Amino acid sequence: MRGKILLVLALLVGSFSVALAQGGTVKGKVSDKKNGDGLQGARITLTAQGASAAKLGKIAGKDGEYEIKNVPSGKYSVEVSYVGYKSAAQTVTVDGPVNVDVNFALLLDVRGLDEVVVTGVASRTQKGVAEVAVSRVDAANLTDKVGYTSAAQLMQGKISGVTITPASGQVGGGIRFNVRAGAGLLGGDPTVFIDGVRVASGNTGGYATGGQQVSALADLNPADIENIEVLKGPAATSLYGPQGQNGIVLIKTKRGRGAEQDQVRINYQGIFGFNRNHRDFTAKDIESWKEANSIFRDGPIQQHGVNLQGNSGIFNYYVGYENRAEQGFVVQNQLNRQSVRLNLDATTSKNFSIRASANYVDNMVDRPQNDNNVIGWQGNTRLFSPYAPPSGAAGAAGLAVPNGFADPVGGARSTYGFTQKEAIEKAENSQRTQRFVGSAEIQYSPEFLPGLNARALVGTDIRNVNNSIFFPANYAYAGVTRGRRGLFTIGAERLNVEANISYDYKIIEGLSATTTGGGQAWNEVTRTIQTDAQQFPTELIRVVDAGTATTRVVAETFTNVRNAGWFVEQKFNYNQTFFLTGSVRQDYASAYGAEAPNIFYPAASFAARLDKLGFLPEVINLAKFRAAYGENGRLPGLTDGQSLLWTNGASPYGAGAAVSIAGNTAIQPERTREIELGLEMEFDNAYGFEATYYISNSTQSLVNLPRPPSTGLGNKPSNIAALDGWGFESMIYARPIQSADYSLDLRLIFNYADNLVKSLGYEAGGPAQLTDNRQFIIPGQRRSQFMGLRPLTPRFQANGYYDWVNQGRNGLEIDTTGMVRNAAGGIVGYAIGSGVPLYTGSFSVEFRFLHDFTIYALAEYALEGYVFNNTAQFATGVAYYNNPQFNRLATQLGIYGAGVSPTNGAAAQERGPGAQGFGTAGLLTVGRVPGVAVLTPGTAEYQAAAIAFQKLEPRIASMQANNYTEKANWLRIRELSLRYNATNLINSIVGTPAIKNLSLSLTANNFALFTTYSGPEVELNTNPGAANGVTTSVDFLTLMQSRVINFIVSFGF
Amino acid sequence: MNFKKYLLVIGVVLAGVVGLHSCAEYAKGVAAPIDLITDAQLNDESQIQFQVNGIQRQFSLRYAQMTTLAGDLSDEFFFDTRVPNATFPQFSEIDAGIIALDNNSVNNQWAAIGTMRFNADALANRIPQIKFSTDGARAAALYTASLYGGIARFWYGAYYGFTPNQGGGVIDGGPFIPSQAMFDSALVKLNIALQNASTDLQRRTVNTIIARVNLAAERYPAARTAALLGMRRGDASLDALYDDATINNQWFFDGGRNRSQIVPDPRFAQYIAADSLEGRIFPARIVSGALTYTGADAEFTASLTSRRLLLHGPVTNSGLTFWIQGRFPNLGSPVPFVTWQENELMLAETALRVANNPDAALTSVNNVRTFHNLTARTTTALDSVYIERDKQLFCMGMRVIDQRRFNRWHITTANAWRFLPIGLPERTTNKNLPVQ
Repeated sequence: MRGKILLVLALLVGSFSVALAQGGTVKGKVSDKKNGDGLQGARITLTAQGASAAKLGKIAGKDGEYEIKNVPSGKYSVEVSYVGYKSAAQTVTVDGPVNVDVNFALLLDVRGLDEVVVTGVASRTQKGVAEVAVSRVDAANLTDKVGYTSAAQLMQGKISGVTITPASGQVGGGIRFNVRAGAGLLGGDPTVFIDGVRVASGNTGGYATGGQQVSALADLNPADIENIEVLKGPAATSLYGPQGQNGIVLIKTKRGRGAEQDQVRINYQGIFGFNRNHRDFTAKDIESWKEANSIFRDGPIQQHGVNLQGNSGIFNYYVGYENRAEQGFVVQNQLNRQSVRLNLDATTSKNFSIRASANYVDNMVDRPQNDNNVIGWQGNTRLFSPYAPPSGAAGAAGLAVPNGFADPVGGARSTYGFTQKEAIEKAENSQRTQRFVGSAEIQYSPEFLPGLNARALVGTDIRNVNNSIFFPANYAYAGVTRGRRGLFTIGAERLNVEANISYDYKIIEGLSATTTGGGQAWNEVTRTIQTDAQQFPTELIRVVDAGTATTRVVAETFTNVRNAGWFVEQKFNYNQTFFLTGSVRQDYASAYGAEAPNIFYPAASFAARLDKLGFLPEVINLAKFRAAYGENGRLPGLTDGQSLLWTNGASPYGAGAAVSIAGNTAIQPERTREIELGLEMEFDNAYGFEATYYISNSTQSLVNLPRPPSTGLGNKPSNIAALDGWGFESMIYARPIQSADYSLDLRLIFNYADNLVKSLGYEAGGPAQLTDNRQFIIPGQRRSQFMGLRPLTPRFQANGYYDWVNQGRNGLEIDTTGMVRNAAGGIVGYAIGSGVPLYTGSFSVEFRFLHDFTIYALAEYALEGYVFNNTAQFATGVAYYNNPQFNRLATQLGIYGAGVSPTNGAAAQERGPGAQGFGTAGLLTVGRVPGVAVLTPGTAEYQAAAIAFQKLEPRIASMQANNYTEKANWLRIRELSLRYNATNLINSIVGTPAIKNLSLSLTANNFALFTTYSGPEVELNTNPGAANGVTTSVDFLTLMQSRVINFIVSFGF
Repeated sequence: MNFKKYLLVIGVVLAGVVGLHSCAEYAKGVAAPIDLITDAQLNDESQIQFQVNGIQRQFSLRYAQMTTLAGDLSDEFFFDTRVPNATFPQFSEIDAGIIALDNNSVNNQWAAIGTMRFNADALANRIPQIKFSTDGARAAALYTASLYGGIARFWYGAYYGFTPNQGGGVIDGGPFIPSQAMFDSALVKLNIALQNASTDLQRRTVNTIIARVNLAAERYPAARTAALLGMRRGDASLDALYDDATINNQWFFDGGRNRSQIVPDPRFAQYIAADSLEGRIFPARIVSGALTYTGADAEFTASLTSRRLLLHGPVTNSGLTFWIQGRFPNLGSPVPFVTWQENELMLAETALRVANNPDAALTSVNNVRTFHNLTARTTTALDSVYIERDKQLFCMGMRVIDQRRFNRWHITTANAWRFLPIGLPERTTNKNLPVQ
């Protein structure tokens, strides 16, 4: 023991004064086994054998050569690791001041089969033997190549079975995950852990600006991330309990291990770029295309990040600072994020280690009013025809009426028809998030009981969000009287604790086992305070107390939620060839005023390395079959088990009782079962694929079942629904070229995911369907299927003109062919398609050439998904006339001006030459498109125009689904970069290895979009949202994602 | 295995046992919400006022919305896209009588009436379980619960329907109740309110409401009987209250100064053109160009003070003139639910229909007109009562009832809705309704 202590002390001293050491030298070369090329950048670690965990390290230089001097005498394990290669180790003995040569020839490991991945709440194993599908993104390898705003962007297109969709193109905007076929009837987002902390990852809350909130994940600096691992589906996440139902995302940040022994490594990264709208509107899209384009700009991006990494062998640290200033491509949208991170590891002995992570973020996001919002840019520039004023006059937006555009529609209706442009410009929404995310983890392996490992972790996520809005009193806003000021404060604290103990032991020769037991607990407290006032005497003072006293509103909420669970896991390993695991977990959830609901979730998994059985050709270096079964599911919410809870509602009568929640005392946790089968193969260490088929079944699915509104009680939490999900996810990868100067990596991800609603519990009192009248959840159909009614042939008036009024009426004759009925026997419509694409995936290529140049491209795609173009339906509709095609057809049919109500009375809507009912002369010519002739009723041309017009019918919901639901196949060039690594050039000029790294990259995100969808943005929130979880993939004034161009410079020394 | 190992094993087992127990305790140990009350906690006399406030709050929330929708459905108001900021297709549908079953304005109001009805009935059902300190306190609680429970039922019967011409509603997820039966249900509640009224004004007010329900049901003798016991000239109206901060008058947003989805029929301007004093009853304001309300509108306020109609004319907007109602100019303007003027006009109508007494009818009509210093009529008939109701009950949701009663529907298109449809949310969840 004394000797070990001395060794530790020697290494510590060595951290500060290498010159004092008098040891030997370990040197050699690390090369590619296949072609012999040296591997510059390989990491060599010397670990003293014995109780001490003292380590020495070095990064291989040019040609893969390394030399570690002053190695104290002793026995060492020399380990070599290099990205993309299998690790290797040798044991050497250093005896005095001698040279010891240790050379390594590494095998390719394109897929990272040797890397340790997380396979369960307390399980870590090499990917090559994992029993479940685990996807991993090596973030550190990507952030030099492409500039990312957020962790979510980092994951896009890189994880099989997972799609990530931004809520909007606004900087800092929210995101949604879609994992496999979606577990449970209502799906949901995965749970995100950062260094073991269960963090808030959804929208932050606060004042909405029209459907866009700020993503809590936008607080994380992507440059701090080392890697991201994703476990998908209950088969893999059962041991995480309810939090794992929709997957687990594990984000690990960088540690100090990246530095060489006894040296401080300093890295700087600068990003300079801009956000730009990825397409412009044209005259074919909307009449108001010029105004819609006028709000776009190039939003500059500037980011500076610096980090320090140090490694003394016992202690290592990572300190990172980042400042990102970014403006969106729509005015008033900007983000300014400052992030500081300190990660510290201490491995004082082989028995004991401590890891601590701390991150403080100050994130300021300004958002304009946008998306679904009458005060927003999108709502005011994409809905209204600009040709509003009487013929020949200038429009309200300053647009001249085109020559010959006779009698434009809408009277005073024009672009900015809801809110004046100047008023939108003056509206403010600022959000500042100050956040601390930190964790501490200890691991202990007692010397007296080899094989026993104990681990405990505590993590916290503390957020303070201050959101303010301001509408100046000298501008007009809908719903605002003489200005409004609002302050919204969110204080949220999360604490998660987990502990487990595992014991590795041998049963018989070749058969080893690990028994693990542990628990997890989670607590979240959220407080919100809102203060709001209107009617300001002046726009010059914006404090909330300047608003009129009688308009001030103060609101407060407090929520405390907990859940806790324990688990036991038993693993068997036979000759590193067969692997078997069984586990069970029990979870409890907090429930106000009721017993905590609890549920058991079992899981089992198996893997076999067929390549180790000896019957396969040697060229197959991996052939793994795996199978897993697992269960989990959501637990009921805090108040779901209460029959009736009341809250207060303010009124002129005083605060009064109002029903808040009408729950269900019989509510139970839901249960989702999943089986996954996987096959992974790799050839010649360079070509491979992995494929997973899964099938899931959710029963007792928690649904907020709508009660009949006449009950006055809103939704009822219920366990009624059953859903089947299934799918296939795969990745094919190859590195056909590998040499010192050239390499080529190819990767194709293909996912298929589908589901079927089995039951809504109609027989047990459930509903016949859940619907927003365009999308439905009904048995026998996909979840959130778009369904519509197809009208029969167009109707015509007696005078031969198209009968526009009756064509849009309820009770229209419909084509009943193939009509779907609900459980009650009612006609629903014909199935159009699901909002969630059936097929998704990506293709990436990375080509390194001339040693130092790298071209990288990633394209993402989705097929067989549908989007309801609510924007087009509105813009076409009753009040807007902004659809050029609709206007043209209306003119041809002689019903131009359609949608403009008469002075009163529906009968007068039947217009067209010969129609009666217009009291005011001139109305018949309203909206006539210049140069378009009115067709003669009864002719084939007229009939064709009527059919085309009928397909644009914007009015009733059942026809909207038929007319405005579009197939939304798309392919997006998501990432593109050209990188030059100038390290060797600089060092050869200077003559000594002056720098560790210098690279320059030109990158683009969302470079190009190819789609069958007519709207500007095809990627929409595809998880169930509003309307009882029915609504998905509805494009209503969604701001398109930005095309981002960045220049990145990175250097380290 | 040495001693340390035994200790470790024992420790692990103990930790496991403690952990199992602790999971449930830990999950249960959350702090109680600060904004929620269990239903049982309301079973106390000290909580009655809180519940009464809640019911009145629901009433106010619903009433202004009810009158805008009823006004739009009738020929009292209309929707026109040439009115600045009139854009909601929901209002367009209602105006045209071509109402989709997913019209969220209609359906949201339907659901909210359900909430008001539930609140009122919940209090009524709770009363037997509460020990009151006085009989008066018990009666006061029952009065409120029954009055507003009756009003909710009246609204179902008067404004909603299952088909375009079949009025009625649904109580608590039950079967469809046609208007006549729904009115009966409302009257049961209103009679309980009448029995528990504590002041003469309350009794007269409830009688006027009973008269209104009977009038809507076209039971004119019963309407006359109740109206004779109803409100008198000078009685304060029963108002739905609003303010700037808590609950706002929906007219401000749907048919008022902030936004005018619906605007009054031009005949109201014609009434004023014929007799400028008529504007004292139904102030309105002309709309020209963009409607931008950015501050105090002295001119508009003055028009209210003097009860005069302002005309900024002649104004052309594509050759058209529009008006907005000025009866409820502010966020906090109260909306009268029932007035003595309505009672007088019910007396007038039933005097003609039931008592065959034109003189009494004339007296009643002139009681109303002279109150506003309007020219007294010399003769009256059902037609003139119809017109007088049009003016006096402006924005009170009565026109749609009157149009049906007098069979003067303004839309000739077949199958145009004369009621607001019971929408899909009810039809798809209520198994007691016929399959669609």
